[in-house]
Amino acid sequence: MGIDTDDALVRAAQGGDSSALDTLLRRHYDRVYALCRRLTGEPADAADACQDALMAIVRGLDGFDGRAAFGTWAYRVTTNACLDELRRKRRRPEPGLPEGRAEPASPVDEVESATTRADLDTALRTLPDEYRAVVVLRDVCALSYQEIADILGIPAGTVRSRIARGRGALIPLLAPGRNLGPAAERPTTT
Amino acid sequence: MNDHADFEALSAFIDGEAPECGAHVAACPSCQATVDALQVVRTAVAEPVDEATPPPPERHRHLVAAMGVDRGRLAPPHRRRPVRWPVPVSTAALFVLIAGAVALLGHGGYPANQAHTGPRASEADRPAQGPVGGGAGGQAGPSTRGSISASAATVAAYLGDIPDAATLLDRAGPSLAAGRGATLGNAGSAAGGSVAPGVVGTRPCEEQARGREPDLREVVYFATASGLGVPAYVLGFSTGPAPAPVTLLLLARDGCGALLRAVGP
Repeated sequence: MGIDTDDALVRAAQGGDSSALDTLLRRHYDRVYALCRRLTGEPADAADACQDALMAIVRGLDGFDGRAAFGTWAYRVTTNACLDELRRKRRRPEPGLPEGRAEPASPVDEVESATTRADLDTALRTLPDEYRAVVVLRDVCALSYQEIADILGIPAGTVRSRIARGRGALIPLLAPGRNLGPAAERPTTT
Repeated sequence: MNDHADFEALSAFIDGEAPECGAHVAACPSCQATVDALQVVRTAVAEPVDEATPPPPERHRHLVAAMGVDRGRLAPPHRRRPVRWPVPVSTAALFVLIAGAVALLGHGGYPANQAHTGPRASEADRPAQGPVGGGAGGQAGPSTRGSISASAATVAAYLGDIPDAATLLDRAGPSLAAGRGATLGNAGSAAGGSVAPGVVGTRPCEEQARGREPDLREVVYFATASGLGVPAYVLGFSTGPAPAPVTLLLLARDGCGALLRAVGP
């Protein structure tokens, strides 16, 4: 009988079965990459963060105790790798823009003036990291508020309010022209 | 209906985290409009990434291989923290740097003979055993522009199996220090197509490395090695005029994944 659950694969991998580890990583790779891609906003940064995350998952597997689902734990490791990558990137000097490429609009300008739907990466970049992380973990990884809270080490109520604020900031960019009623007094992310 | 649900509750409602809002939303066009807008955002964020996801084997094959060898020795891929050289090592590096500068002035070029007299000179021909990623096909091209030539490749030679960043620095450091101030002859790698025999093409790995770290400049150091049991290149990128440190990357030949990173003198 083959092993086909994450738990079984984790146990086998912890025992040194490299094919089980390979299967485990393949199974979660798409979601891990998507998380990196949406959190970092750039394919190159995503590849870098993804590799860091995979390395961290492999290195940390022995210490994984199975109290959370493997996927949840892997997303936590991945989120941390992405946030690290973003912090490193901010410390590096920005390369000059290629000739003929316009200076990107400031997030505020984009939020204020968007009349057509913005590029998703551009829109997500307007969010502070802590808001982008909760929105992406919820919508890309389909995690519950409690799972996100566990991953980020914050209360579930904070997750709930950050998701709302993040989405509120994204509405003008991703759903322009929507007539929101009195209920939509959107909170800000600042 | 004047008593609208607040925005946060409506956001939680579309996630199934506030079911108590259901009855109100069903009866309130205003709140329904807000829910619709929130749904649009959620759907957009959840869209699959637009580019092809890199295949997992390319990214993690070496991880699995390394795990099979000795997972305890697996080092993080990016040690971006600058290495703090102990004072005696810094002094020694300074002497090596001065000696290298003297050699450069005396011979008018990169200290290409270094490896021939070095302890690993017998392994120096390994990079020249066959071009990588260029498809030589026996076609001898006169120009090696954009390539690392065999003679240049022998400068740093084969560094052996590198288990961690400290070893990478230990083995690459001396010749790296001596070579500062010079750009590796013909460095820049093969641009594809035919490559002269004895030329090692590293362009894909260089490009990927620069894609990950835009501040990397020209290649000033090259060697081959085995990293964590995986065939690898060692590329040293300048990050600015000396004395800016050189970023050393150990890159898997297959897929160019970064196995180790260190910052040299």
